[in-house]
Amino acid sequence: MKFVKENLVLVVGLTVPVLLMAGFLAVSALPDGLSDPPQYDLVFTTNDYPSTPVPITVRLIVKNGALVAQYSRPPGQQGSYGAWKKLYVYEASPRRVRQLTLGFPTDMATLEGTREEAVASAAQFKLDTTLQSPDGYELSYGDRRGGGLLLEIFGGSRGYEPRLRKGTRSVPLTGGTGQPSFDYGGVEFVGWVTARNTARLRLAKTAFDCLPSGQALP
Amino acid sequence: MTAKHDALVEVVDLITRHGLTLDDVSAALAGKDGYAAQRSSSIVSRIFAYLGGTFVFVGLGIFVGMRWDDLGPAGRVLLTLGPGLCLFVLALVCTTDARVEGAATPLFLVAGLVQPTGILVMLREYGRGGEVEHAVLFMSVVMLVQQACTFWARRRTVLAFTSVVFWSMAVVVSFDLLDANMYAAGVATGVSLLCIGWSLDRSPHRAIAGLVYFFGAALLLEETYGWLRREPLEILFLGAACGVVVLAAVARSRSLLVVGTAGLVGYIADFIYRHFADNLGAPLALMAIGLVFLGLGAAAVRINTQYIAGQPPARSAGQP
Repeated sequence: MKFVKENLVLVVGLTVPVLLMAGFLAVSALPDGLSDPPQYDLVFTTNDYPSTPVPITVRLIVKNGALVAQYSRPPGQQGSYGAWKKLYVYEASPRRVRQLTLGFPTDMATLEGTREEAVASAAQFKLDTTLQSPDGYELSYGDRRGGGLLLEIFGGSRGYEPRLRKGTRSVPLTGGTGQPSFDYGGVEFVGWVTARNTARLRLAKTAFDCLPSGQALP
Repeated sequence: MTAKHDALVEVVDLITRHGLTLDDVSAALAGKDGYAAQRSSSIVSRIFAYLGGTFVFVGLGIFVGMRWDDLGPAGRVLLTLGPGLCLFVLALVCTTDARVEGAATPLFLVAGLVQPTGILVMLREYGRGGEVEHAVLFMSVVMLVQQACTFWARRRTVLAFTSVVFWSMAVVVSFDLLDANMYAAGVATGVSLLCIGWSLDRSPHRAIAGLVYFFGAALLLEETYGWLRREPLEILFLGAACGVVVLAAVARSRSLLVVGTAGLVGYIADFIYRHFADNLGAPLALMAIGLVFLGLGAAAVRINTQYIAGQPPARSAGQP
């Protein structure tokens, strides 16, 4: 007690951050219902860098709520690096990121011009390309609130990670330990999942299984 | 208050804090042989200690770098954590012998750099994955406990410095892991560092108070500005910057004054450019306000010395 009296300023200095940490810990322990977490899944992409040159490029676009891969061969291009995409879905309920399959088309070597094909792994999603989700969240990148000088001095990569933001509340797009990290990773928005169509998934799977490999869906 | 008064206050403060007697001060002022010899040997031993510490550190770094790929996990840990612990023990031994006491400070500093590296290498080699932030938090807490306990026992300024560094590191990484609002985290860390600086300023470890004050105030103002920028409460930043200037005057700290003034100047310039970009009256009005402040300051000193403190105002040399 004598030490506290003699070093009151020091004790205050050591206590302030600890109290604030306790406050943040208490807030993070609140039930999700009180903190208004994101309700909608988000489909997004990052750049992929295959080890072998890819002769075509891919663009992912949303047509009538369905995800479509648009393959094209730029005129005169023999091969390029970094032309492919990795496809992910952020699942709001378990708060985790899952990678979806986006392979190369089997007719990649002979493909001419531009061809569109539904992405089978995302066939179940009905997507909305409005930047803001129906519950008000938006994808923001590298704008974690604060920590400029703090993170410059002591390091920390979380200041640059993509987040879902709604007003002052934000949720990191990484799913924690064992999940992929997208710091500095160029996350690109594709769309919010507003509905899941299981019938559409079955139809896409059937169509995918029946078609000769590499042929486009009608 | 004149520069002479400032110096006198400083001298009295130093004498009280270090428990010096007037005889000690007189002997040092008179330049007696013992004092002169002590001063000269202290400088020489310090130079050799700095050079020695640097050579050991650089040599070790180059050696480890050359052999790194050929080493197994145990070898890597032994080559980083091992020397770190050895240097720390050596530094502790140095503090017990007056002849080599000068070497303790650089040894503690080098140990404070090598040991964390060793702990991180150990976690990387034998850890089971996980986030980097957890490893950094573990390292900074272990180092904080070690450095703070040793500081408690030996009362060395260098250990106070390393304790403050590892404390700040642990606090920042904890906030980062808690996914906290880093503006609030920055303000809290800034306030914490200012309080620690205040305590250091009133202890025998005053040498590092300026540095701690500087980073504390810079963090506080930078995060406050980032938080309130373009918000209705932005004007509160002006209050924070003025608070730092007031604290500078109370604590008699130049580093606080530099940070506080820079914050004030930056904010006022930004404000004028934003709101009065083409209005020449604004900077002129600002100059007029500044002159009024200077006049008020001088009047306040005169009133204090003449009517409150009960002393005549100081006259400059040459005046009757």
